[in-house]
Amino acid sequence: MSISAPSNDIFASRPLSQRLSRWFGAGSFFRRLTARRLSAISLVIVITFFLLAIFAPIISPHDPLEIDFSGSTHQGFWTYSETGLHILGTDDLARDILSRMLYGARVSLQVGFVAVGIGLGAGMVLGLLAGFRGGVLDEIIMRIMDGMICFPGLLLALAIAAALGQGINNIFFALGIVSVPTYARLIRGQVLSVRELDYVIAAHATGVSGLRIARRHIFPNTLAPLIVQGTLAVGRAILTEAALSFLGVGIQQPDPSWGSMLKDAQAYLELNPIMSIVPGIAIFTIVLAINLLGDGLREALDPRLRST
Amino acid sequence: MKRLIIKRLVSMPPVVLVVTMITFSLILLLPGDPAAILLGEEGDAELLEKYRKELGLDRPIHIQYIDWIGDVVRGDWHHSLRTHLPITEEIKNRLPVTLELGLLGLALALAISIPVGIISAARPNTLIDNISTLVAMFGVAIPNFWLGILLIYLFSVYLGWFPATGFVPLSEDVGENLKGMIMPTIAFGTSHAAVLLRQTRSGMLEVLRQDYVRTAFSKGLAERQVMIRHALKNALIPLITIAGLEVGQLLGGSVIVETIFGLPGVGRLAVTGVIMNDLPVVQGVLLMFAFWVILANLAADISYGFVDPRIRYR
Repeated sequence: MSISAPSNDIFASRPLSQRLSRWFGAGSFFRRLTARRLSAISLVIVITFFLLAIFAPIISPHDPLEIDFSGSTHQGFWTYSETGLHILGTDDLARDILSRMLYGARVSLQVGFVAVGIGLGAGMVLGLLAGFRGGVLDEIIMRIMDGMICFPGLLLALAIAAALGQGINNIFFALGIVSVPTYARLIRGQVLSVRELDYVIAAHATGVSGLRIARRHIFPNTLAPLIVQGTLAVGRAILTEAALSFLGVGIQQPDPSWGSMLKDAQAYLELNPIMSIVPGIAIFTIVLAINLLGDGLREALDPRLRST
Repeated sequence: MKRLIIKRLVSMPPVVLVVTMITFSLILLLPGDPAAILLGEEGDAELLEKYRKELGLDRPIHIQYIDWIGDVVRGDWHHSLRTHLPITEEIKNRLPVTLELGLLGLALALAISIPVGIISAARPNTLIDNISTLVAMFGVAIPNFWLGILLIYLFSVYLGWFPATGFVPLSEDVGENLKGMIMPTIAFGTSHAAVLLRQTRSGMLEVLRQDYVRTAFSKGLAERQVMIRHALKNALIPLITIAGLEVGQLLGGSVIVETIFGLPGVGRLAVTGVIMNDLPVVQGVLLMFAFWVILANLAADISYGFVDPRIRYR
């Protein structure tokens, strides 16, 4: 028994500099991604939003829920009140718009990523099961997915969120569920196409267990389209959360969310258009950046697109 | 062709069955006693009991489902808990508005996306292509509710051209109705225009590389003729599938747009149902929208077979 099993962590044993250059050096994935100017810019925007969301409590000039009782509402850019400077002015309840926007970023990003995580996780399990086991299980799972995909996503999320009641966890769940069929279909398709490839058949022939084949041989090969789809789905989830909050079913007052800020702003369109413009630009910018990043990832990850 | 149609028709019933099951099972998501939640007030025990009997909530869930699906098939989609009107009637009254919005939005999307997509693909990487690609990216990312608000700000508040709300039925005054539909149509159609534009452009680029397009050019046909007669026809084939898949998105969009502009359509009905805790209404709209999506996909698949002979022989 002198032959030792090949270690799983062949990269972990390399020195840090080598590992870094694998990720960031010439020809690496990161370099390919940022070679396109649009992708690089959108990556910076997404990271900026992340930092804003994480540090919202520190950088916000005001408490987003703080109501200024001095009597007057301070509209317009760069206005002062008894509580200090409001760079983007205040809303109908004299709350600082900039602070609410920053806190809203927390809600949006959280919802985006958690919802996609839920959808991706459940979709992955279902897709792998369906693709691997085949037969009746495959039929049942995929027919349910076919059924779910027939509902307009927004309306189904709306119905689920409304049935479950208020609370951010229910929003996570509703948005996550709605996206499950997309991933399940994607992964099943990948499994079916990868399953017949020679190296998987070879692994089977050498007696590797089914679970191990799924984990070590099939899953890594389904990763690229999943990352792309997942990134784009974060943008969709952020849009849908904003839509739900806009309709009054998502994040509840007084917690700031970009969608609910827009909902409040509607009545003050004439008096204070800043209320509508700020959260709208925030949603638009992050979704645009995420979509562009997704496109960039697609090109960086797909070797077939690399030459063009 | 017949085989394709039969095959597609046979695959429909399971999907329809699953759709009804999902719609029905919404009631299971309600936390706590459905009767109490649906009644919407702190009723006394007796009233609750009566209500539970009335709705059949005291029976096992599979019996409830079978009863419910029986009613649905017979055309009894139950009554709204709030207005007490039959849901089929509620939907029927609002359907024309949603249909009009959907058709106008789709027409706008096609009117923009196909010509611009063709021009973009004919002159790739020029200024006009870059601008249209950029605008398409913006169109996908802009939330339709924000776009709606911006339109209201520009056209109602600032310019004063159109009233922000106030719907005039088509049957009353066609001109006023269409005037009121301009902003909703733009808000509704923009994102679909963007999606279809990207599809048209990439489809055309793909086709323009083909040999038969080069042949058409080399035999001296005008560019316009090649583009429309030779290239576009084939580029549009995948567009059919995308358009079929987009129907769900389209219907989802009606929920938002009808709410912003105060249009009395089916989407608005769903939102009111959700806010008023009117589960049968929500279920009714969900079910109807899902049926539409199923039919749209069926139509797309079958027309695909008509347009592309290769599909028929598979």
